[in-house]
Amino acid sequence: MFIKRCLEIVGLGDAEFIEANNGKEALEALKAAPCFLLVSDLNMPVMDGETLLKWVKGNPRLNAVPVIIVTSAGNPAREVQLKALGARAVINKPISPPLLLQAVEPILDGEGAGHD
Amino acid sequence: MTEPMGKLNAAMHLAVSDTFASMAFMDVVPADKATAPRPEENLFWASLLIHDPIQSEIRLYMPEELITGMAETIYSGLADELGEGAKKDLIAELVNTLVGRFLGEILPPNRSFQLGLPETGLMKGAELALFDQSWHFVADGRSTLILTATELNQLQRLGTDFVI
Repeated sequence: MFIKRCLEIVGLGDAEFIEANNGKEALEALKAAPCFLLVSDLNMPVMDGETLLKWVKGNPRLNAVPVIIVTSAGNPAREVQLKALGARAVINKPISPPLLLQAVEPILDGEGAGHD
Repeated sequence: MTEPMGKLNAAMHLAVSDTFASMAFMDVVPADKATAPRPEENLFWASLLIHDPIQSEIRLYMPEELITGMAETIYSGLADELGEGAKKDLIAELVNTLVGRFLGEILPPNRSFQLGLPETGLMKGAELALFDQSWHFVADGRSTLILTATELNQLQRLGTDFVI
């Protein structure tokens, strides 16, 4: 809900948001309807953000969706690892609208799907 | 104050002030636990386990009025969605963020750490019981918020075994 609010503040107020409680639910939602952007926490029950990232990037139907990972347990080595798995950006908490805008803006400017 | 605890306290103070400033533009400063007013109203709490590199539980308590005000600031225009669940989501996000920030501050730059998943609840202020170590803060000059942690010996290791 907090990240959704930040996305609304940075200019995505008219977008349709689909919220999921864990990676498995997010994967099911991605398969059910086309999505422009996936923003995922790393630490989640059932399926964590890293596993979700692997599932998305390993699926030919989904792998063009840009993925932004949000984490409270990040460090430079972890960021490199997640980007190697296909994450477009890794953002360390605390999240704020300006921080999120920095990651989302290039995607909104047309560098989105297909450039991972 | 011993040096390891001094480092922990400094890291916790920074983590809390940075988290609340970034997420809610809220000014939160350390308070003397001996003189800080004990919260008597309902308290929202969120608890998080640290699994690695030490083992501890950190719990954040916030008065209902404080978390409600914070939620109204963040989710302005979404008043209909601000039930108890939204406040629990917010305090879970706060504890997750500030514990991560705390460990990131105290551990070497590429040292990974592992956290559990936040648990949340609502309780009466009179039922408040603190663990081995606690930190008190005052938010926006009026409300007291409290962080408390188990396994003091493990926490002290953060200030000695993992120094850069």
